[in-house]
Parts: sequence; C-alpha cells; structure tokens
Amino acid sequence: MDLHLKTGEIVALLGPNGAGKSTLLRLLASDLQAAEGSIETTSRTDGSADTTFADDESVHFDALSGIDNAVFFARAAGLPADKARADAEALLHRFGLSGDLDVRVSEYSFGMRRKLLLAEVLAAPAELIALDEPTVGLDPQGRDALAAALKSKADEGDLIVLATNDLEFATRVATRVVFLNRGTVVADAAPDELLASVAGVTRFEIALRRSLEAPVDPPQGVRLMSMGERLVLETDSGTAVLPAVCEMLLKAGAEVTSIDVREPGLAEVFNRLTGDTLAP
Amino acid sequence: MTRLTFGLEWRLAIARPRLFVLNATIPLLLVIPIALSGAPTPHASAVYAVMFVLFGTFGSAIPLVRDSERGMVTRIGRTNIGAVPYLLGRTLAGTTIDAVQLAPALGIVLAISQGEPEAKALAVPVLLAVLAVTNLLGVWVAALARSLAEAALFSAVSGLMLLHASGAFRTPVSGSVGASLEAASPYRALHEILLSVGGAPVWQGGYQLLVWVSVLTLITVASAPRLMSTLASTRHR
Repeated sequence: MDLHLKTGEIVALLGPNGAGKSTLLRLLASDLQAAEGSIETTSRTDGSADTTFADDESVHFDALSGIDNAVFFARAAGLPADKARADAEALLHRFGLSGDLDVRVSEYSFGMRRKLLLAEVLAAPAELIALDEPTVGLDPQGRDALAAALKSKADEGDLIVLATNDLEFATRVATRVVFLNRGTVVADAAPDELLASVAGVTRFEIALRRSLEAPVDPPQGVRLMSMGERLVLETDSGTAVLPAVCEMLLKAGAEVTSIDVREPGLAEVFNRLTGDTLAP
Repeated sequence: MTRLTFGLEWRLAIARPRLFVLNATIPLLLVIPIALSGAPTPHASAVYAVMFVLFGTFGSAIPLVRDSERGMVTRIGRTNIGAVPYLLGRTLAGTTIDAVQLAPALGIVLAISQGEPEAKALAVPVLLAVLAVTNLLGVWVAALARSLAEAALFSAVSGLMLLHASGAFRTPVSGSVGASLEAASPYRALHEILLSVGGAPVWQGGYQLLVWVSVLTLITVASAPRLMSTLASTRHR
C-alpha cells in the first residue's frame, strides 16, 4: 500500500469487511505500530502532525454530563478552559445535543453517544482527523451536521480520513475515495472520476423467491452481472430495456419478489474493479 | 494536565454520591465494633492496617483495569495529557479521595484509642503516605493484571504479603530475614503508628515509608509510557 494524503482532503476509505480500513486508521492514529513499512508525516506547524481519532466504540465518562465530557476532552487536547467550553458547546449544538448538555452520558442513547464522540473529536485541534464508521447510529440531522463539520475542517486545511461502509455519505463528502481490498489499494481517485467510469449504466437488481434452475439469455444490450436469488443485470440503454428483461424473467419461470432499478454508484465501481460485492 | 486529571477523578468520585458514601461508611462499620469491643491493641491494629492497605490498593487498581478494559485508557492515550500527568494525577486524586473516605474510620480509631496525642497526630500523615504507596502500587497491579479478577487477586496478595513483611501479623525474631524485611517494608510505619495510637508505643520513625513513596513515584514516572501502553493493551488481551 502506498498512499500520499494531503491536507485539506476528505479521504474516504471504502472496502468490504477485513479490507484493512480500520487497521489503516489505527496506524495513522498511532494506535498500532506497523510491522513493516513506514508512515511519514509533515506538519504545518512543529513537524509532528497531531491526530485525533474516533473509533467505532463510544467510550465516555458515563457518570458525567455530555458537556463535562466534551470540555474535558477539548482541554485534554490542549485548549484553554474558556475556548474548550465554547467550542464544545458549539459542536454539541451543531449535532443537536443542546438540550442534553447537562444530562449524564449514562442516560444518552447510542446515537447521542456517537454524536458526543464526534463532537469531542472534532473539537480537538488536529491536523489529521481519523474517523472509523462515523455515520453509524446518526440520524439525518447528525449526518448533515457531520458532513458540514467535516467540510468546514477540510476548508481550514485539516486532513480528514474516514473509513466507512456508508457509500452515500462517502459520495457526498469525500474529495477522494480510496478503495481497499484485502489490504491493497484497488482504486484511488475523486468520487466523480470513479463514478464517470460507470456513467450511463443502469443496473437492475432482481430479487427472486428462489434461484433459477437454468441460465438465462439476457436481451440484446443487457449484461448479466450475477445469478442466484439476486439477479443483477446492467445496460447502457436505460430503462427502455425493462420490458424485455421482464419477458426474459417470465420465459425463465422466475418468481420475482422485487425489481430495483439503480443508477450506478461507488458499489458498482468497486464491483467492476474487483468482481467482489460491496455493501450498497 | 496533572491538575486536569486530578480534577476529573474528583468529579467522577463526587458524581457517584452513593458509592462515595458507601466507601466512607463500610470502613466505619468495620472499625466501630472493633474499636468499641476492647480488642487487644495488636489485633485491632492488624485489622485496621489490612483495611487501610486493601482499601487503597483495590481502589486504585480495580477502576484502572476497568477503564483499560473499556478503552478509556486508550482514549486518554490519544489526547495530549501524556502518560506521566495522567498516572500521577490519578494517583494523587486516588490518594486524597481515599483519605477523605477513610477519615471517619480513622477519626473513630483516634477518638477511642488510648495512645498519646503525638502518636494520634502522626497517624494522619502516615496514613496519607501509606495511601500514596497503595495507589502507586495499584497502578502496577493494574498493569500486571489482565482482568478485574486478576487485579483483585494481585491487590490482595501484594497488600497482605507486604503487611506480613511489615510485622503486622507477627513480630519477627531479631536479626532474622523477617526482621530485615520488616525494616524495609512500606507498611511498617503504619503498623507501628497504629500500635502507638492504641497505647503500645513502638514508633521508630517513618523514613522507609518516605523512601517507598519517593522511589515508587520515580519508578512510576520513568515507566509511565510503558505502563500506559500495557494498560491500553488490556482491552485486547
């Protein structure tokens, strides 16, 4: 793996479970030491890039309130007391936790704990912000707040690296997507560039009650991508071929439970690159 | 950052008032019947010494292992707090919290016992120094342990062994290995001051206790990054 990450970028690490996304984040955050190879950092300031890291578990001081937790971690990051409190309050407000600042974290829901963790991490002044599955447990308001906060941090010149299976969020916020598969980089480009490789393609995902007994012969201009209880077809002709596809299914005696017509996204890009499936 | 950690530990202690009161009440409930029973001074002082030492060691090691297991030590390690300020702040807070929680029990012991006022006055700083030792040892116990059960076991074994070496349970024969161990034991001063408070003046000075506090602090400071790393890895062991 050879990656060069620059300040001001929002880099989304995508790949199936076990691809190495979280391991790479933990290496960047110095939680793990690399068995071989090296990570070199250059800094805007003193030569050592400060890193802040939100992993996939939300660990807090449950007996203290949300604001007390946030202020503690902001101060632990080096902020003076007044600024720590102001920044923490602003971020908690952004994540919709204003009404729960003084509530004990033990009374927070899972999603509220995730929001608190993200607020704590984003309040810390750092040049590299590493986030593992940051959208897990977030409601739409939380996702919007996170997207806005990440863009704001990137505009300030911070480097943000997030590992996620949330392709919609990655497409929305990332300025760069790195596909990982079994510990190697299989693609590294801006989301628009990656999506351009599948532009104009329409995908039909057909759920069947049971797999077809014999192979099907797709209509002209339609490509068969996968068989089984989930039949996947692609075409460059848009939805105009849908009647022909339905006719094919009837001839094959298929018991269809649903047909999903999709514009291709990052999951399809990954599928084309590796032949493996990425969670949609 | 030491002050930040110290303040955090106190806030956490105060945020759980039921636990705080229990920690003050249980030693009191143990001390009152013994103090009122007219138990012989050597027996009563041995019980008090065990209680003070185990209270301090358990109270330091168990929460630290719990924080390690749930990933809090790893999280703290990612901040700018630093290993030395974190462990020292935690030890200082633990020592003072233990002292406050044990104050009622010690107060009863001092109020009811027959010793000289000088011995009673000296008991307070000796107990503070002993609690500093137990809290520092608790950090090492937590680093050695891989679970809460191990932390409890190691706390009990280390505390009782050092108390035994201090002569709390028997008087070693003069010139024996036991006598040499007693001379160097961190809890000898506690044992002697509790006897003196009970009216059996054997106090010979607390220099070895000060040496233990100083040496343990220095070793803990020197090993703090390694200790933090070991504690953080408890989560994955």
